[in-house]
Amino acid sequence: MADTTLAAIDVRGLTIRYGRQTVLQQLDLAVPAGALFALLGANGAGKSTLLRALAGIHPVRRGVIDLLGHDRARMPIAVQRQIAYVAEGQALPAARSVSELAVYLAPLYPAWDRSYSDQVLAAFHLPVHKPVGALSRGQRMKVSLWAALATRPKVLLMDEPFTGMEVAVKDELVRALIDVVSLVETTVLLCTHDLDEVEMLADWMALLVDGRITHAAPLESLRAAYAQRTGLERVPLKTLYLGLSRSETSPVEVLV
Amino acid sequence: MTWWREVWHHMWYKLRTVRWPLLAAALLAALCTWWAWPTTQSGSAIGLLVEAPLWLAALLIAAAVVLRDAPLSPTAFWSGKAIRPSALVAAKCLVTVGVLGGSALLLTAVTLVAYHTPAPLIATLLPRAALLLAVTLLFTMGLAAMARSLWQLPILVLTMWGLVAVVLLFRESRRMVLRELALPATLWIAGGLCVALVLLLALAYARRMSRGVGLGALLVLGGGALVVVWSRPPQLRIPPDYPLSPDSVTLRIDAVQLTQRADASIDQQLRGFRGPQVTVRVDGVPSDQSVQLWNVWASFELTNGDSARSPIADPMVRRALPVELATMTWRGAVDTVQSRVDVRPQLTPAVRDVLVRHLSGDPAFRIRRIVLHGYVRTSRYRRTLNMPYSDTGTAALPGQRVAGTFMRDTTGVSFQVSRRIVRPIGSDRFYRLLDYDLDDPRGALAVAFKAGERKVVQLRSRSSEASMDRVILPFVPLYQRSTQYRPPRELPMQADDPWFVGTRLLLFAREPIRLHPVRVVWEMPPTGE
Repeated sequence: MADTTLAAIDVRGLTIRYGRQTVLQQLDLAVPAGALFALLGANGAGKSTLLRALAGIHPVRRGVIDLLGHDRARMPIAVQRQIAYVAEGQALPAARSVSELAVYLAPLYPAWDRSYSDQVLAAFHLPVHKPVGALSRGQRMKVSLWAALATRPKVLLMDEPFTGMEVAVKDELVRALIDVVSLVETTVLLCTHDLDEVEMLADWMALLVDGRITHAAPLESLRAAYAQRTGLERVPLKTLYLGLSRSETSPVEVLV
Repeated sequence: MTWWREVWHHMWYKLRTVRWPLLAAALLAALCTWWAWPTTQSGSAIGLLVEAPLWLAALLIAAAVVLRDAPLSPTAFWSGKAIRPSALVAAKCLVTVGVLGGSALLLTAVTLVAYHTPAPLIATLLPRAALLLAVTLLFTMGLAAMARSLWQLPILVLTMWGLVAVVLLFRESRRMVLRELALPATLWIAGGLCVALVLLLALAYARRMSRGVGLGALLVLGGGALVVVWSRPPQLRIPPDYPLSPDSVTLRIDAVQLTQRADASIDQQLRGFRGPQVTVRVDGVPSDQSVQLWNVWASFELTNGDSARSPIADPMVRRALPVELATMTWRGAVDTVQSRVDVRPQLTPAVRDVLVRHLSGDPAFRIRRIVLHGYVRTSRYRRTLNMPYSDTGTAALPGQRVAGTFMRDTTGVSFQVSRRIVRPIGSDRFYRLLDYDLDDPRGALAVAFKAGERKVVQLRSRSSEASMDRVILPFVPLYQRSTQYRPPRELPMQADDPWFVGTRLLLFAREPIRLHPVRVVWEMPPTGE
């Protein structure tokens, strides 16, 4: 269960521009430690940019990002090693096999646990001696997830990791991910368009609209609040998402 | 994991990644060296055929090392991992510049040693070759860092070699901006640009600067470094038919100035010599007099231990090795003359007085030296230290019907003597003409003058560069400029012109001094000490 008193991810006043276009504008977000946090938003809302900024890939010039209590810009390498980032389309060393990749990555991460890594590999049914480039797309995503999870991260950032995957594979991955994450106290920030993934995985949800967080709360709290406001007995996630997206609540209705 | 351990970790991983291309390149280099070994003397096409694949392989590997984990790609594998950017870029530089360039340099050194190249010359060539390799590889890495795939590499390579071609064009046309800079300054500039290139590469990883800014800065910095190092690639002229040994290089000091309260000898250290310090002992000086170097003539000849094939009789020998060494040492010698005797290489009023006296028929001035040449060889070599260039002439074969030119341009003073022989001469007379007349107590610089008009005539040398040729050595482009040997064109004057009649080469001094006619020969120690 998420510890709401401690934010594993704390973003304050984050503004990111691409040229003249402002992608994120004075964004504030707090993700409690241990939460399975889903970040929803329309295309171009800035979800991927936010995650890249959290992962340190995108430079931050305005605003502050604290991860695990450390400023992202001046984060020690030891803390960086507790943060993992998985994104759809992220490159992998195509010529290397999973076992070779393990040999490369393990010394870089002190928390790398060989038995835990083997456990994840078994859960993902990955061929360990085949070059990564020869694997299917779903298998490559599993490799990305394995490479992230085997480091036993305290924060896992996932940017639409299951996009375009076959339903069965996606279902398998999500379940495996839930099993694996439950073993360690990992804060997961999942950026996705898929409400089924959110339903299966997340216990917190935030809505990103036009570069700002308009709603961020435990999923059940959002549902309850929305039901109370609309008078509905049961609020499906799709209804909740569409309702919140269309609500003109201004400036921001942050429940937590 | 400490920073250095992380660098080593990345480096070994990268080496494992490119081990097969590296082995293939090593095999290619060995094959090319073996194949080109007997043909290094000739065949520019062969040289190009051998060198181009080696360079291409090296640059492809360097680019591949970078592109495996592109620094600016947001989807690169390393960007989502807790990897220190500085450690990653250091590892890549070590793999490319250290392993790849180091191997090439080692192979070059082995080849130079196999060619019996003197150690001081190797010591001067290898650092320049290393700089050339480092800058070229780093520039390739910088360009590759801006690319997203290996498919863009041909464009990058073409861009880079286009730059090199431009550099060579500038170099050939003598319009290089930096051509007046001395080599140490050039080295500093190239080294500084090299460091800036590495820093920029690291910055590209660390800050993920925008592609436009990064590409522009890299092109400017890398292009500057490339221009600097490729404007003066290490030159080496090795005649495989005349294997060199260290004792085949000699340094002569033709005359020394005598002063009172003398020691019997003087140890002269040559400045500017980048090898082991050379100490020249001047012997044969009367015990009651001391000496000062006056006319230092740095002359390097290949004797080859074969007196029957005198170097002067075989123009091919003259194109041989010691140009680099000679120019460097020559500069030191010129410094010596200038500092000790205060002779400036220009036509001073005192010099003009001497000329006037000579033209007036003063018998104290006699012809010092006449050198006859049947085949004119005019080669221009870029200075390697502070030497603008050195033009050398090649003597004619004895007994040949000749009309020739001898010229040497040192530091601004050009002199040229033309002499037309209308009938064949015998070898005895020929060599007698070549001998110095050291009885003449004056001597420093030489000019040609036209006796009838009593004025100094300086003739411009004619360049007869024929084609670009190359010595084939792995990875390091060592240029060998072949020169056509051909009968010179007739000088634009008649045979019976008074100019010819009065032409002579004389040596004159700024002021009358007494020169002791000694001839000091320094032989390079076999061990290069």
